[in-house]
Amino acid sequence: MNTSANWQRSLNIYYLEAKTEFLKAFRMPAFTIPSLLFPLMFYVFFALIFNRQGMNGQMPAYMIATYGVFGIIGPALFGFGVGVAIEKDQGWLAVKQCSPMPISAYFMARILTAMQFALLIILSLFITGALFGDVVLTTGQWAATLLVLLIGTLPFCALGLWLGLALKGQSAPAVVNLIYLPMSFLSGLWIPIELFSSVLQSFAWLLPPFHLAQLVLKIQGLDLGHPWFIHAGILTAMSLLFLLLARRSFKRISEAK
Amino acid sequence: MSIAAIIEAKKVSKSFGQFKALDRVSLQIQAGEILALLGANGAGKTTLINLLLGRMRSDSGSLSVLNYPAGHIKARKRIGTILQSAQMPGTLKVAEHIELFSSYYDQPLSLQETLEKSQLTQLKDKRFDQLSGGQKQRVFFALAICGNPEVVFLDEPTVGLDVDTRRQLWRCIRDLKDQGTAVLLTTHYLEEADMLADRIVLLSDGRITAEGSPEQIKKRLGGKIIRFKSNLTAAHLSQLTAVDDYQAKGNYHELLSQQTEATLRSLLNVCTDIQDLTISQVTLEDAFINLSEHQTHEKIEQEKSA
Amino acid sequence: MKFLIYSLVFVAILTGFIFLLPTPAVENPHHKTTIGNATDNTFVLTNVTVFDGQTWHQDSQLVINNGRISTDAGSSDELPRINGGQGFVIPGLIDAHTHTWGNALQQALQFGVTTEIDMFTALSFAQQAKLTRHSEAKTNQADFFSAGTLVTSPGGHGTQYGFPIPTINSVDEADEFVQARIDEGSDFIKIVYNHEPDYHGLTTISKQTLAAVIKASHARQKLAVVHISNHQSAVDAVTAGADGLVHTFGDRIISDELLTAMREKQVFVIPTLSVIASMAQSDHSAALSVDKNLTRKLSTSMLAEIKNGLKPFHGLPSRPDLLATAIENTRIMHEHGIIILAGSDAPNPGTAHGISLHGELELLQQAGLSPTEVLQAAGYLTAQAFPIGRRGDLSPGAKADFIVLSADPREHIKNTRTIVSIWKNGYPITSEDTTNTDSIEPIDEQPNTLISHFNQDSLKSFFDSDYKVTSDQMMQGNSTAAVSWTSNACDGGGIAVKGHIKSGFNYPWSGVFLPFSANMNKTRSLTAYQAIEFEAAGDVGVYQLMVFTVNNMQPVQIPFKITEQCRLLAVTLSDHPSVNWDAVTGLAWVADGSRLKPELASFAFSLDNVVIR
Repeated sequence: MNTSANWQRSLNIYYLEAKTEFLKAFRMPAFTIPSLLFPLMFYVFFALIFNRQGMNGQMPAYMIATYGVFGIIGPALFGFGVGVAIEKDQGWLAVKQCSPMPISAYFMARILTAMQFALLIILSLFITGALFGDVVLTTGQWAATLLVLLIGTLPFCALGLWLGLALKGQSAPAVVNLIYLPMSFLSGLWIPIELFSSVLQSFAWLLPPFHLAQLVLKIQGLDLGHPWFIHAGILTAMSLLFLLLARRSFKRISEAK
Repeated sequence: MSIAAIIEAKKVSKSFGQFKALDRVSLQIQAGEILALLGANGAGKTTLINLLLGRMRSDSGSLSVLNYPAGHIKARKRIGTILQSAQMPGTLKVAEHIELFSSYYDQPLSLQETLEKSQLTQLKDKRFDQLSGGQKQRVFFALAICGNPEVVFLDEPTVGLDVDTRRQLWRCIRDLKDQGTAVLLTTHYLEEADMLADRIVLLSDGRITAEGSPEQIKKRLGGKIIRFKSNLTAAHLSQLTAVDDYQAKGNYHELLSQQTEATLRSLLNVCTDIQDLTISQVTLEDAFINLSEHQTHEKIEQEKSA
Repeated sequence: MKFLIYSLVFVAILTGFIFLLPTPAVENPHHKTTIGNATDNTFVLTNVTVFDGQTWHQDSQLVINNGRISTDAGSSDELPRINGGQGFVIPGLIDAHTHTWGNALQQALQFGVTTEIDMFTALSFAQQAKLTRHSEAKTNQADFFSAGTLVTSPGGHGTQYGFPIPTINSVDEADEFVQARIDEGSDFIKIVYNHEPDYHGLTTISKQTLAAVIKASHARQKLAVVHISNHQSAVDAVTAGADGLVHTFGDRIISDELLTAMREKQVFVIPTLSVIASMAQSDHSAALSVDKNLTRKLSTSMLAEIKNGLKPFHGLPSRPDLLATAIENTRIMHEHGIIILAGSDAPNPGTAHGISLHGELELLQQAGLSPTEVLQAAGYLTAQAFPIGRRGDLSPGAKADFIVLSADPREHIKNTRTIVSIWKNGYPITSEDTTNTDSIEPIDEQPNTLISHFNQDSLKSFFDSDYKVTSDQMMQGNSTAAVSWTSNACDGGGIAVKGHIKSGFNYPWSGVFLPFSANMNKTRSLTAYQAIEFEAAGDVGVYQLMVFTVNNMQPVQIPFKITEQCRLLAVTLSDHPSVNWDAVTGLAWVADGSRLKPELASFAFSLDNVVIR
C-alpha cells in the first residue's frame, strides 16, 4: 500500500465521518433550531431591542462578542455532551469502537460539526449586527472575532466530551442545559460582566466562557483589560483538565461492562 | 488439525467482583465455520464476545483473533460485528451508514453488494428510524459485512424479531458461510443454532457444558413441547405415554416428550376437547428451566435425606 | 482532491464575506466635526439647547463673534449659521486639579476640557504653556493656569519627582518664598501640608509655616490652596486660613466643627475623587477606558497610553471604604453649601488628562450633586473660585469654549461623553491623534549639521559626550536597558538599544541618552536649528524622544513610531514651543510606560544618523 493512497483513504474517512456527523445533527430539528436561533434571538432582544443604547451605544458590538461565545458553546456542549451520552447508551459508540474506525475521526467529526454550527451562528450574528445594529468593525476585527470564536469551540468540545462520557443519555440534555445556561449568564454573556458585583466578577474567573468572552472582547478593546495570554492559558488548562476527566470517565465505562 | 484457528480462546476466565462470568473457557473457530454459542441469559456469551472484540480484558487465559491479540486494529480491519441491542443514529439513511462504515476498511464491498447481501437494496434511502426491527437488524448486519470480513461476530442477532424477519436474517448468515466467512453467533434459541451452526458450544454459568454438532446437542437437550388448551387436569395429563415433564402455562398445558408421536397419540385418545394445539422444538430456555428445576429438586431431596 | 477544492472555495467565500462586513469610515479630519464646517470663529450655532453656566436655554442658539460669545441681538441674521442638530451645548470643562506637561493640554482638549488648572509642574513648561491662554486664536490645546512650583518642605511631597525645586524651611521664609513664586508667574499658591511630621517618608511644613505662607499669599492678593490627605490636616489648613482644599479625605467622616468652619470661611474643595478611587484600587477608571464614546476617536497608541495611565496605583491594598468615605464627605460638604469643584489630579496613576474629568463628574454625581451642579463644579464655580477669568460661562463676553453633546447631560452626567463637537476659541477641534506622531515624519532631505553616523565602533556623539544608557532606575524604578554599537543599523553602523520596561517608578522609561555634555552641566541652544532627525527601526511601537532642558528634570516627551522598516524621522523644533530650545541639556530615545504590558515589556531598536540641522 503506498502512502499517498493510505493518506487519501484516511482523508476520506475523516471527510465521510464529518459529513455524516453534520447531516446527523442537521436533521435533528430539536438540536438545530435552538442552536441556531437562540443566540440570534437573544442577541436581537438584548442587544438590538431592549438595550441598544447600553454601554454608550456599544451594546450591539459588545454583544456580537458575548452572544457569539454563547452561540458557539451550544453546539459544542450539546454535540458532545448529549450526542456522546446518547450514542454511548445506545451502544453505537461500542459498535464504532469495534470497527476499525480511527477514534480521532469520531472526535474530529464532532469538532468540525460543532465548528460548522458555530460558523453559521457567528455569521448570522455578524449579518444581524451589521444590518440592524450598525456594528462597525475593521475587517481585521471581524476576521479575528470569527477566528477566535471558532478556535474557542475547542474547550467546550472537551467539556462536552467529559459530560457526554460521564452522564446518562437520558439525563444529559437536562444536565447540559443546567450547566450551559447559568454558566453563560455568570460569565457575562447575557449581561456585560462590568455590571456584576465584584464577587460575581471574581467567580466568573472559574468559568471558561468568561475567558473566551474576554479574548473576543479584547479584539474590540472592550475587555476588562487583563492580558490575552492569561485568558488563553486558563482556557488551555481547563481544556486539558476536561480531557483528563473525560479519559477517566472513558476508562470507567470500558471497565464497567 | 493443521488449519490454523481463526479465533482461539484458551482457558479464559473473567469475573465481575464475586460473580464469575467465565470460567476457564476454551474454544476455536476455523475458517468458514459457523459456531453457535448457546446459553441462557447471563451464561457468559456476551462476555466472551466482548473479550474477543477486545472491549474487555480477561483475568486469565489467552485470546487471539486472526493471530492478533483481541481488539488489535489489524484484527478489527478483518472482522465484522453485531453487538447486542445497539441502536444507531436514526436520522441517517441506510446508504449513508453503510458508506461511512465501508470507508473504515481496506477492501470493502461495494455499496451495491452490501445492500444486496443484506437485502436492503429497496431501503437504501430510508432513514434508520423509519425502519422496522428486522430491517434495522439487517442494517447492523450490513455494517458487519460491508468490510468484507473474514470473521463475523453476531451477538444475539435475531433477538426480539418475529419469525419471518428472523428467517430473512438467517438466509443472510448462511450466504455468508457459503462465501467462506467464519461466524461466531451467540443465541439462546436452539432452533437458530440448529439452523445455522456447524458446531454448537453450550455455555452455562460461565462454563462450557457441552460441545458438538447440532444433532449431538439436540439429542442431549432433546424432546418437543406439546402445547394446547383442554379441561383435563394435570394429574390426567402426567399419566400419558412418555411425558417427561408437565407444566401449566396460563390457560395452556405443556407436555415435554422425547417420543412426541407416542405422547401425541395417547393425548388425542384421552382428550376430546383439545384446542389450539402446537408442537414446538424445546428452546434452550425451556431446557435450562428444566435443568435448573431438576437441580433444585435434587438439592431439596438431598437436604431432606440428610 | 474534491474535498480540498471545496474547502478552498469555502474559505474564499468566507473571506469575501468578511470583507463585505461594515468597517469604520476612513477618518478624515475635515469630516470629523459632524456639525458645521466653520473656518472662522464668527457664526451662529442654531437649533441647540444651551447651558450658559447658570441657566439652561431650551431650543436656543449661540452667537459667537471672534471667538467670544456675543449677544443674540443685532445683526446675527447676517452671520453664517451652523445647525446644531438639537444638540446640548455646555461650557468647555475646567479641570481644577492637574499636573500638566508634555502633550497634556492637547490631550485634555480632545475630551472637551478647555482649561486646566495645574497644581504643580516644572516651571519651564508652565511659563511656556500659559502664553496663549488669553488668546482667541485657533489652537489645539486647552488653556493653562498654574500654581507653578508648590510650597513644600525639604524632602516633602513634591520633591520626590526627581527635579530640584525650591523648598521652604521656616516661618521666616514665607514672605520671600511666596514673592518668589509670584515673580515666577504662579497664578495662585499651592501648599502641601500634613499634620503628621513624617508621612510615608515625606516631611512637611509646620502648621506655623502653613499659616505664614497663607498669610503671605493673601497679603499679595493670591489665592492659597492646600494639599491635604486627611481630616486633621484639613482642620489645620482651614484654621490657617486656606481658601481651598485641593483634595478631600477618606480617613474619617467630616466633623461638624470642620464643616462649620469651612462654611463660615467659604473654603472650597476639589475632592479629586478620581485619584482617591485609584488609591482605593477601585475599577472606576478602567470603565472609562472602555467607554467607546470617550475612546472611539483615539488612535491605538493614544488609547494604549491612556489605558496605561488609567491603571490604579500600583501595589496598594483595595480600600473601598476610603473611596466611600471620601464620597460621603463630599456629599456632606455639598449638602452644607460648601463649594465643590471638579478636578482629576491627572496624570497620577488611575487618571489621565481630559478623560478622567468625565469620570470625576460621574463620581461627583454619585456624591449627590445634580447633573447641573456637577457641570457648574467643572465650570462656572471653578471660574468663581480661581482667578481664571470668564470661563465655564457662555453668556455674552465669555470665551467661546464649549462642547456640543448629543444627549442631555441633565438626564445623566455621563452624557457629557456623548461629544459631537468641541469648540475652542470659537473654532471646532478636529479629533486628531494628540500624541501627534505625525509631527515626527519621515523626510527625504539629507541633513547637514550635527551628525552622528556611528560608522566607527564607537558611541561618541557630535558633542563632548557618549551615547549611554538611561532608565528609570535613577528614580528607583526597575526598567533596564543596554546600549551598544552595532554594524546592522539602518545605515550600517549605529546604536543598538535593548531594554525591558518594568513597573516601579510611576512613569517608567529606559533607552539611550545623548547628554549634550559629559556631566549634563552644559546647555546648548538649538534655536539656530530647525529639526532633529534620526533613523530608527526595531520593535514596533510608540517611543518617546525626551528633550531635557535646564533646571527641568522632567523632560518634554515627543512620541514617535518605530517600525520594522528603517525610517528617517524628523522633529521640527518649532512644532514644540513648550520646549526651551535655548537651553537643552540632552536628548533621549526611550520606551515608556506604554510598554508596561508583559508582552511588550522587552524592546529593541536601532538608532542611526542622528542629526541636528
